Formats: sequence, structure tokens, C-alpha cells
Amino acid sequence: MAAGATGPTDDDLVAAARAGDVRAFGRLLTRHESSVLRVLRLLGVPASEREDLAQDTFLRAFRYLESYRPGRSFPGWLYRITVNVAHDWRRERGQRRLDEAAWSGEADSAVDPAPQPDERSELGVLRRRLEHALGQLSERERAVFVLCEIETLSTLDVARALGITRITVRRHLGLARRRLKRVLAEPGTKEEEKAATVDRSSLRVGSS
Amino acid sequence: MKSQNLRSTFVGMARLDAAVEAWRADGRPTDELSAASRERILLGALRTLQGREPTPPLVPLFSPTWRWAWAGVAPVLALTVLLGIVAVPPGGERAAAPTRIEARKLAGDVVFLIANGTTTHRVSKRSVPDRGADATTIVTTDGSFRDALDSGETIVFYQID
Repeated sequence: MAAGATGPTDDDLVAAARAGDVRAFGRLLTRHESSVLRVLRLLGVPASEREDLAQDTFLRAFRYLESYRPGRSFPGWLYRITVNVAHDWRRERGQRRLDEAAWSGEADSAVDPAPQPDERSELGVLRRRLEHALGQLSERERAVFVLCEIETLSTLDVARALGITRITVRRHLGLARRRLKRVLAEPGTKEEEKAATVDRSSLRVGSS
Repeated sequence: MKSQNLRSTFVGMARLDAAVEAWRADGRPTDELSAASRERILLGALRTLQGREPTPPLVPLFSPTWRWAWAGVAPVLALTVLLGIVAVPPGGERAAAPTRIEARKLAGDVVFLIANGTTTHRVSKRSVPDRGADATTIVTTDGSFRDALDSGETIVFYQID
């Protein structure tokens, strides 16, 4: 998430943005917008709302830029805001996960109804299946799983991002994995079954 | 039954790992914000900055703009100061004249000349030096007071306000 050898690091850009350089903040924005949108998606925010919530996330990030401590994970700090924005949105809509049925409905609506062409591929099917399955998790389990497993943050960064201990992170991650395994073990559609049996070695081709 | 559960667990595990790998893979969805959204965010950031900006410092009094204003005002100020100096008599300010009371005996009267800058005075005449005692009060308007001179050794007290 930090810049490569040629460009400024996230910390450099944050320092410039703090000094009032909006263009530096613009670079942070383009660098991290895709991740924020992806995390919002995996947290169950429907496509119709993601753009607005991403705006809210970045505006909050700019407003509270002083609270970011250089040297720590900037994506982790940004995801904390993202998770809070998604939580506020859910609370405002009365969509807390108290009722499994409500969650299932939300999960269905959160997943993009019409998959893009690349989402019809085997990998795409797998992604969509996991996206559906994430709807079975509690809000915190979901956030922990997404940040740890998909965004590959360390447990320390996730703990900081969510304001919980590392032990709690591991506990939620274990619970999330167990629940997801159970959900994914259930037979899916033919397309999903075919995708699920794909040789995992093929997945690693081109993986980061 | 047990082996079926075990199989189910393995299937679930394999699918989960595969799905996670799929989300991490290079081809994962890379959504982008619209240009309008980016613009709104950056505009919002600019507004936040404007709100944060401290009050601009006061314009120095000797900045180029103010220099012209001072150039016009200076002669007027100088003239005012000069007039002030001229108007004040040598030796200081025009202080009120010191209070002066003069008593003279004119025929059978005693005449008091009172000069303290005003002409109206209230004179109380008593036989004892007590402000609470009965007194004969006369108001003078010309800065002088005249009273009949009593014969004998009677002491009279005058209080002049």
C-alpha cells in the first residue's frame, strides 16, 4: 500500500496533505480508493451506496489526518475509518445483524446483482460465493476476516484498526473461518460447484 | 456419518481457501471512484482546509496601502498637535484659579470676596462651628458676600459652599 521505490510513501503524502497539499491527498485517494471500495463491498455495502460511503470515508480521513501516526499502517488506519463508516451506515438504516433473515436479505442485496464479465469466470464465482457467505458473519467477525484474510493486514494492524486486542482478533478470525467453512461446504449451484473444485494451483497463477 | 462430516469440513476448508485466494488474486475487482466523486472529496478537503486556516494576520500599519493613508493623515495630526501646544499657556494646563476668600470691613459690614472660578455660592452663617446647627443661609451670585458687622465679642462662623 505504500509507494514503490520511485514514488512518495503514504507517510510522505500524509505529511504533505497535513501541510495543506490537497494534491498529495488526491494521490492517497487514487492509491487507496480501490481497496476502500473493495472493503466496503466485502463488509456488505451494496453497490449503490459504496461510492457515497467511500466519499464519506476519505473526507473523514482528511478531517482526522492529524490522528494518523506516521510509521504505522496507513491502510490499517484508513480501514478503521472505512469500517466505522460502514457501521454508521448500517446503524442508520437499522440493518444491524440481529436478525439472520435481515442479514441474508442484506447480503443478497449487497452482492452486485449483475456480475461483470470477469466475475462469471471460475474465480469470479468463487468470489461471489464467499461474498454471499460473509453475510452469515457478525459485523465484527466479518470486518476481522476481511481485513486479515483479504486485505492481509497483520493481527496487530487489524487490532488497531478495530480498536480491539490481538487475542480478540484471533478469536473472531477463528469463529469466522469455522462459520464460513460450514457455509461453503453446503452445495452451491452447478457453476459454483465447478468453480469450487478448481485446482488451487491455478489460483496462484498471477496471485499477489 | 463421521466421515461425511469430515469430508464436509475438508470441502468447506478447500472452498474457503480457494475463495480467499480468488479475492487476493490479481484479477480481483478493482473498482474506482467516479471522477465526480473524486472531485467532491477534494473539494471537501479544500473546504476543510479553509475552515482550518487561522485568521489572516493584521495588515501592517506601514504596508504600502497604509502608507498613502498615513501620508494624508500626518499633516492633519501635526496641525492638531501644534494647536494643542499653542492653546496651553506656558507653565502647564489652564488649571482652575485657586480658591481665594478675602474679607474686608466696609463701614458697618463685613464683605467677603470669594473667587474660586464660580460666582454662585451658598453661605451659611452659624454661631457654632457645627454643620448640623441652625444656620442662616444666603445664596450669592456675584462672587461676593456682605453681612452686617455685629458689635461685641460674638464669634460668627461662615460656611461657604
